[in-house]
Amino acid sequence: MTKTPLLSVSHLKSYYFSAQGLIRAVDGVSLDLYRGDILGIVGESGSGKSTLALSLLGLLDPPGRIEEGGIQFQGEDLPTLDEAGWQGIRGKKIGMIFQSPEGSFNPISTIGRQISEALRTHRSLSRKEADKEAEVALARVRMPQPKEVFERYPFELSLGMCQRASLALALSLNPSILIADEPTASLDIVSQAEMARLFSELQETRNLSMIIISHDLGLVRTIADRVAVMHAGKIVEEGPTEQVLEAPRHPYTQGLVSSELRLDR
Amino acid sequence: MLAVENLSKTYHTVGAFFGRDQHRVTAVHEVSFVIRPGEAFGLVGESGSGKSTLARLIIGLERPTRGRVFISGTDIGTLTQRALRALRREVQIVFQNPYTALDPLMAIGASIEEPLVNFTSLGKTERQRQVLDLLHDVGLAKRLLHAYPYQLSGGERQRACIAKAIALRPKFLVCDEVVSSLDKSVQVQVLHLLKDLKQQYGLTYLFISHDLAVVNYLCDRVAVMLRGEIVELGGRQEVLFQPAHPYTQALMASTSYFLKDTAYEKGRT
Amino acid sequence: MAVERVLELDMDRVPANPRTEIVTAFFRHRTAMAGLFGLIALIVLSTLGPSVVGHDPTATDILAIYASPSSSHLLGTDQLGRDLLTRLLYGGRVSLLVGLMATLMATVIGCAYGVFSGMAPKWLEYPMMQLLDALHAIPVILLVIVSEVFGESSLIKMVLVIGLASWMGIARMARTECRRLMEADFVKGAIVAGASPTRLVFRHLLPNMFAPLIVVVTVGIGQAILLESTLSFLNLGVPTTVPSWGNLLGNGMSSVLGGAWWTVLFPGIMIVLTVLSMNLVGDGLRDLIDPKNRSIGS
Repeated sequence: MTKTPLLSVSHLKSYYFSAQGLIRAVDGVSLDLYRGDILGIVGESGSGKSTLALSLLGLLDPPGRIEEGGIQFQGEDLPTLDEAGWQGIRGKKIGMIFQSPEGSFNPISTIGRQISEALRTHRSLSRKEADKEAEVALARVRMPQPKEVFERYPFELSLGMCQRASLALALSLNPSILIADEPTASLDIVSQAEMARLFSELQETRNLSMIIISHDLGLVRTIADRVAVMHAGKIVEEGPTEQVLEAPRHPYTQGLVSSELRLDR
Repeated sequence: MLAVENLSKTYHTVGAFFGRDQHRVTAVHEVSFVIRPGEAFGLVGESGSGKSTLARLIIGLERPTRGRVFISGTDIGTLTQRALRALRREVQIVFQNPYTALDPLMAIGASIEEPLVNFTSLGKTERQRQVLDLLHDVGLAKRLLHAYPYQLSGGERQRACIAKAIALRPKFLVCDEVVSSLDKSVQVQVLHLLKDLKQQYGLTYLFISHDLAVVNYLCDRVAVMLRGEIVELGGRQEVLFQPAHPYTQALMASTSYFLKDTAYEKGRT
Repeated sequence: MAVERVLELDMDRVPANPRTEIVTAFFRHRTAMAGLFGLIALIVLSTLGPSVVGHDPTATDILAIYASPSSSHLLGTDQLGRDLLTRLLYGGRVSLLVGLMATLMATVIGCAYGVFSGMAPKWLEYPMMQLLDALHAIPVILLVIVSEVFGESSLIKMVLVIGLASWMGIARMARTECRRLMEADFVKGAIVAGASPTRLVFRHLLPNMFAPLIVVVTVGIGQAILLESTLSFLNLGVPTTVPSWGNLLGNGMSSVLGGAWWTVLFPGIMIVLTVLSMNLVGDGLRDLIDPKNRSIGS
């Protein structure tokens, strides 16, 4: 492949230094994300996938820290950045959403206000312009009745709607990468399917590159171009989705795939 | 085995002073169904659909606002606390979250032993022997007898909860989202265990889940619940693969979307 | 999440009781240890001290009235020439004893009331909580004045009064904890497993309430000692013939104007040290049982 990766993780090691001893949550992970691709990272609880997500966003708090390795993005090595450096990247160039959408919002302010505030802190917009753009951002994630939702408080929305809104917030600043950590895990199955369709659509229409971290093989199979399987802090298998999930080579992946419940058996 | 008749439960959120009613929330509304001996009855619905309330009503942890629950022909609403407690030998429950379902200060062995202490007059050695048998039956190592819940993984805890629930050899087991907090690979193992135990112990299940694939794996008949009401009920094949209600159709379409599964599409045509 | 997994893998070690882990953690907590050390010192001093010092706490010595601290009277004497150190150590016995007994009583009443109302059906729970609010509103002084009707002041009466005045906070906490636990799956599971109400309370509810309870109780002992001092200072507490820290303070108040500062300073220091130690231990326990700091429980 001649494409150069948009984001390249090399030999990343993130450890926790806890009272119980050293925990190698991410233990030598190398990954490439290509422009316009969706990279799925699957793993079970405790595989280190969430720590990986936090490391990519510079959000790993003590007692955890990045011990070794690099994250190359737009000519910068992210682990060497200070907090101010991260501020220029996080949210702006790398957007993020998490498992519980309520966490993305302040519960006592409206959805629209918060998106518009975020726009205004990063760009010089008048309140009116920002409000208008926030509304556009909501419409872009296929939010039904964006005008209505603009005025709503987070708790007034269903979880599915709220996750959509947090995606709108994450995309409002036009990041080139979106990192989603278990974006569908807290949603009902119908919202999950809607969310998955939305990811695929955003990939097509906006050429957005995404890293989707999930325990759900179904989600990853449906939307990802490439899959990396994570186990005990390491990537045990990586490749095109079809190949990894239909003809897994590593025993761990084989176990994961065979333990998936299907409707046809 | 179990019959539920026009069961309703309304909650009142109570105001501050001497309980003036502010709101009512109907969690379960006019639900009726019958579960036959030896079958696995699946109850499907999203969170907030009232399935867990229904489970608590059925095992008598809460009293219904209206309607009746019959277990082996007895209306549990007419029972005294003492008689209800005696009936618990036959009806047990496994909860969703294995992290909160075991007393954190009790060793696993003691937790599993608890129903035997409460209901039988067995001596200590005999109880210990039965607990070891139960550990074996649910696939847990003997050394976990003296372990504490926080030292176990989610799957191990859920196995311990199941051991506790079947300790008295009940006839009827309510499983409330028992696999939804577990990893996928562990889910299958626990489901497999439940299938085996059904045979071995001759159990009847009320199996509550939001996951159609899980219900499809284990259940003979399925009811679909939406906002406190049952919108569809029938055999597994009909309900899942030829759903009549738009809600069931949406659930199945979404589930098979992720599985890139053709089974549902085949059924539709 | 990752942390948990690694601990799970580490299953070959001998299973530790969660309670032992709290105890171990407690011994690593510095301020809590300082408090505990202070308490032990106070208890040892007031139980063994008096026999070592060798003065009689009631022996008067008219030749040594208001003697300032010296080698024969380390902390000086009072208006009757009684040795202050001896009286202080004896007073410690009284104050600590009253504090402990009163808090014990408050804990028993509070737990019983709290757990009962926590398990009671709604129609009974609300009146019980409102009664508790009403009782909380009664000033301690009123209680003391009423108690005067029932005869001479005595140690036992002091314990009863302080106990009756301070169980409401414990009851409130016990009730909140109880309601929280009653919602927990493992308690529901215990009910389904046929646990009788007695077993439910003693095997499941009380042991799981122990951690938050011990904090309230520790701080409560300090408060009870303070209350005892206040009441004794006002001559409403233990009989004036019995030396307690509050009585000593009350005694000293008139003397300090005559320059005998030691009669007030030392009892004051003792009270402050005791309450401080209690609060340090209580704070330490609170840190340890804070869900953010622990790996056990739900």
